[in-house]
Amino acid sequence: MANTTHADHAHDHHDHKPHGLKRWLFATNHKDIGTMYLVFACLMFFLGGSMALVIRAELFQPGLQFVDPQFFNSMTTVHALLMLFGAVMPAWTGLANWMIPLQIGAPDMALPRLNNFSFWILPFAFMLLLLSFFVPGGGPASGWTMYPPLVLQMGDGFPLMIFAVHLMGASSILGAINVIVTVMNMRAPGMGLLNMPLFCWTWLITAYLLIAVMPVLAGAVTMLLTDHFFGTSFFNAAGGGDPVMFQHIFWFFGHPEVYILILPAFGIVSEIIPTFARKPLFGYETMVYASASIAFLSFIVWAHHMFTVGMPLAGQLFFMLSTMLIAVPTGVKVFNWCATMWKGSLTFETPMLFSIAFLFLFTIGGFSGLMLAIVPADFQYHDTYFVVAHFHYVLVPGAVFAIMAGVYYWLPKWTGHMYDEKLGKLHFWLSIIGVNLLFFPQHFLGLAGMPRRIPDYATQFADWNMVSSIGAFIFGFSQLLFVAVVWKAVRGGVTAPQRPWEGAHGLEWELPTPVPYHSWDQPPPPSVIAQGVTH
Amino acid sequence: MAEPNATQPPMDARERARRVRRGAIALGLVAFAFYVAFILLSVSGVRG
Ligand SMILES: [Cu+2]
Repeated sequence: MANTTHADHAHDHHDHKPHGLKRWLFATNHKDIGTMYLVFACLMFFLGGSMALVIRAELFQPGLQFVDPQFFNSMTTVHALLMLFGAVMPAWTGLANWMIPLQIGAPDMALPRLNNFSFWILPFAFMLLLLSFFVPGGGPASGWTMYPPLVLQMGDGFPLMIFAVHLMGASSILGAINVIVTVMNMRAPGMGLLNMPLFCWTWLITAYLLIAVMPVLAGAVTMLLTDHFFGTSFFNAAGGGDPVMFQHIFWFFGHPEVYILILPAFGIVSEIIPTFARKPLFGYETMVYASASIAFLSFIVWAHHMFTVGMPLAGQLFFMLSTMLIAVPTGVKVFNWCATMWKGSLTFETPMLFSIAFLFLFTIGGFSGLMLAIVPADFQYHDTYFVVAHFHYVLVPGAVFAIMAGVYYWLPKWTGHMYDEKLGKLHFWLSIIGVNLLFFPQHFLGLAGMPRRIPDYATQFADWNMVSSIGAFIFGFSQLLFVAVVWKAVRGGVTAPQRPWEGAHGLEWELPTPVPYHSWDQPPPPSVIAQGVTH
Repeated sequence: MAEPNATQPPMDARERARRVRRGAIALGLVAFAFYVAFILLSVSGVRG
């Protein structure tokens, strides 16, 4: 290998890690910060997941069994906030921290201390959010969308939630700034933008989305705060304000947020499928352009979340058609992934299984999204379980499966050990059975008219709710297997070779396994870059 | 399909640090401007 000299050099002289608590508290190493993000995301995933199980336990049968309605509403609200801002987004930032410097041949992120700061904001943000459960009035129960006037009826937890959302936003913006300046300035000489792996590309686009829309969310919740405490009437009709304006501002953030959660997944899947198909990615450049088009379109579709507020016909048509347009670049991506697998020599290791499941199940979520985009149909589906089924297909077998695929894919590189393939496959099959039992019946419930965010329901919905709840418990508990697999690989196991997957390409695989604490101290020479670039 | 570009000159470390800092400050200002702009837009009463 042409890179052996740097790798040895790195290993001999620079592999000193700081020790103890200080290593983590004052971490500036991108791998340490990436690990902290991933561990944090995992904790929030289980906390948010246990809230989901409270929801599904209550909905197992009609009637009120376990929790009172106010607490139920808190569960749906905080489950969403934890999963979006605490689990999926930090998991992506963790993977970005770990992988982007390795993949572009940079020694670290461009702004390591800012990196540390943006991570350590998060535990405080979520402590504030969870603290709201213990103050008079209880936790936020307005739904994660925080619509006024309902949200303004919250008790003493209101400012805690608002401040927590501000902090989460600040953390993501700082993380996004770091990704952009890293990708733009830290690439090894010879690593052009169009040589980068797609994970770097989709993250770069995600970072621009974050910078554009997180401030909008922050603005919206700041106005909620002043409406609540300082007598403004931004969203108060009695004072000349307009509650519907909040919905416009919120969804101007909210729809791009959906792509913030899913674009890095596209990147990961675009790296895993070629590896296990042993073929270069089909249509690399169209993947980049499709991601950019999706990002652009995400800014002009927001009102599809609020067709039922009453808007001019021209507005309905515009938002319906622009939303449907997103199917075009998304279709390009799905086509490219299928074409990559076409006539490839496929093998089905756990990362590939999760990626193929992503391909099928994310597409189901995409199709139900297309159904929701149709204005007259949306009047029927709005605020029903059909919407819940739709976005959970996009986010769970979509974003979450892609995160898991990425963790399985890079775990040997990180730890130096192969994970337990048998356990990994068991985790996959239990997850896929659980997730479909959990969310597919929710389509039927929604089409039959079951509203979302209710702790009790009419008896005709009982059967599918029971199935859905059983699926939830299968899915939830099988995630403990994931932790077991990761923990086992961290502790030991079969030593992983430098390139654990024979079909893998990219600069990260040109480094020794496990990746030394300091990598690419000197940029990889062009020959190594050429070897890593296959498209 | 883009070939690795071997002719791109390596960036001087100080020049790179300057670009990183400038880029980060510019992006931070953009984010802050969006925050203020959306509030001002709402103050001025633009309706969706
Ligand atoms: Cu949307």
